[in-house]
Amino acid sequence: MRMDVISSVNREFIKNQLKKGKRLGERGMDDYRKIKIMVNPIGTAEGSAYVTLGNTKVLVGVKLGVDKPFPDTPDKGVLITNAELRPIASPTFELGPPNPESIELARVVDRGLRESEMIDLERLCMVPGEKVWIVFVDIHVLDYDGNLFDASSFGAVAALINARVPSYEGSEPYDLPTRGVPVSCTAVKINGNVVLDPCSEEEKIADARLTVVMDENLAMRAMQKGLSGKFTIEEIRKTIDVMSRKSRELREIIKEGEKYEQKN
Amino acid sequence: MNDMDMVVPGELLGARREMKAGTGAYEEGESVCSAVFGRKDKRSNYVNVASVNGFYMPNEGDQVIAIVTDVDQTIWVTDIRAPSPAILRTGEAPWKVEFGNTSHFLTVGDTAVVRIKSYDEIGRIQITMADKNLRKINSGYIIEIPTNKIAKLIGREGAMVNTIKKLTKCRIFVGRNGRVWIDGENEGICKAILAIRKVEEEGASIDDVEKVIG
Amino acid sequence: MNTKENNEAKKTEKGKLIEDNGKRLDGRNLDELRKIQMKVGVLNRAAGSAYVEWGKNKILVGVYGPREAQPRHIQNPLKGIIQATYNMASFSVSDRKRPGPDRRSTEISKIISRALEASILSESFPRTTIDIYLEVLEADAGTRCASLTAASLALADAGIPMKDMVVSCAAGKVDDRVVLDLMKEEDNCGQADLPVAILPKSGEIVLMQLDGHLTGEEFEKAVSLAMDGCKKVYEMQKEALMKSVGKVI
Repeated sequence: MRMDVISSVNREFIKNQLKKGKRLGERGMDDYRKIKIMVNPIGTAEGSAYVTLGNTKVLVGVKLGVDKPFPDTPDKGVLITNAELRPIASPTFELGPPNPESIELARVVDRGLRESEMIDLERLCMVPGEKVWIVFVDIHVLDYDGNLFDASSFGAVAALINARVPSYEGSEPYDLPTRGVPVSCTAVKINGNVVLDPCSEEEKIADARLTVVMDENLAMRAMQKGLSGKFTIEEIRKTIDVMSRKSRELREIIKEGEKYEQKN
Repeated sequence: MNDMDMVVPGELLGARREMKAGTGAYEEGESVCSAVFGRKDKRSNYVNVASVNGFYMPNEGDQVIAIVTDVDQTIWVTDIRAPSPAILRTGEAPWKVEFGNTSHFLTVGDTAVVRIKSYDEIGRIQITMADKNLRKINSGYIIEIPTNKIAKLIGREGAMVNTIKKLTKCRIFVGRNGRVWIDGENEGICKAILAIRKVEEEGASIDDVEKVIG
Repeated sequence: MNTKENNEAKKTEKGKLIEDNGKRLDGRNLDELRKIQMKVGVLNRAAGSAYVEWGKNKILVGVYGPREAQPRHIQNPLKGIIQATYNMASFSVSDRKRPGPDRRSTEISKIISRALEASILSESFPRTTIDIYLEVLEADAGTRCASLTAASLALADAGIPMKDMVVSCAAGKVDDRVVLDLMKEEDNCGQADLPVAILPKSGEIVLMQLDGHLTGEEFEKAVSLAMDGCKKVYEMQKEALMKSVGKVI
């Protein structure tokens, strides 16, 4: 496992700056880095989105296939989310089977998509008990600089709202039926100070992490507390409050994604 | 913008009978060719190619900033941004270190200004802290710049880095491995970081830097 | 798992891949390359990187190293180890691919590593590895050639010393005609596929594979076409490097 050690002086500097409400790169405590979303860059995918969040770069692809439904939900389509932390993205990512980090990432993004009910899985049933659409959401991390939860979620949502159900046995293709745009917000706590959208240096010294997925009505659909530190309930309330306000802005960015043009 | 001095790996630089291959170049058959993508620099009887993007290759005598990544009974293992880690033996430290007491002096995450001493029998890099001007770093902030931007940051006879030092009232040490240590008041450090990034990314001039620092 | 129906190879009315007028399905001539775009230095963490769009192929390569070889027992005291890993994203192909290495990816990783070894001056970095990660984000035939071409750019971007750039291109046979740079439909329904990689200065071959059927004469033609293709792609590599520092050749 390759280490990526942060120096103790840098750690102290960042902590001291946070006490004064200052972050690296002149960011405010609640500021997100620059977000760019490119929609449907991948022609072989039924939907896709390329997200850059500061220096973090994630590509999410949506593929649809037909198969048997799960036995306990014979009239519903299936959503399967997978995440790959490829070594191209960071010296700390290794080749090999999915590790706890990539599994947690996939499951948290999945929870946000599933619990927000953004895909009407019942509409993806073709023959109950026999044939349903399986929606695969594959998260491919390409460059790591913190906050993979939000970057991946933005990409998954953007890819889904722009995805097309392909033709099957002569049927016409149609837009994947989605409703709503869930928004993921992630914060970390460093030495008592809470900041949104952590970069990798901040993640290295974070004590605790909180991800919340919200819908248009500011109802919370999914939550995950990560890392081994603690939050007080007050800190969580305050953070959710900030995230609620932020989520509106972020939702517009996700809906706006710039469409990719295939030139070749 | 045409530039005939930029060469790519494999490009022919000249004949072997006329010149030798310096850094960034190699000799094969009758020719001297570029090994990297960069600017060719013909000297009296040899030719170098300065790589556009480089990694740090340690030379004996270089002063660099090391970060401790592992601690053992008699040595500290450090990262100096080179292809291999650098070893600091207790004998090369400025303190009297008893066997097993190494982490009391330097632990994982600690940083120090060190000098490259030598390569040992099995090719590992050995560093030392035994000179007067070498020291453990206790405050401030360390940033990294590509090694090929070091010259730009220092400037002609130190003009650029001295300007930044003066305007931000910070002490700045530029390690040969592209690690830069900035020390001073936090606000000054922030301004220095901004200025250094501007020089690194946009090739800013002294005037640009003065404007950024304000 | 069923596939999209509109995935089947488009064919002309007579079921051919090459029209009577010598044009291919995408309008190209027999000896024409697909449209290629290259960009160097696109990733932040990797020491060197490159992105190549070759027809509909989209390949991203990141290089790390030279760095300490881990685990220790793989270290070579005489030189650095070159490890290329070719990986296709699940969504890069029409029928979703299960994540993880398969036998094809493992083989391609190996031949790409060997091709790059022929050029990288690895004696300067004993006990290290140079890791090259090739991610195929969208595939449309010729991914190994595009990947290797991109890898060479990423290595140059990382400042890894090499004897020469490595450039790769494929030729093949389709409807009994020898053609350059097969696209997906031609690869699926064609008669031969011959990927080739060379060191452009000397023209020496560092990668060559064949599947299909080629007579001796067809082989000569195909190799010649592929090498011409390589030379053209090499010019694009140089241009991409120069562009990365704001220069024009």
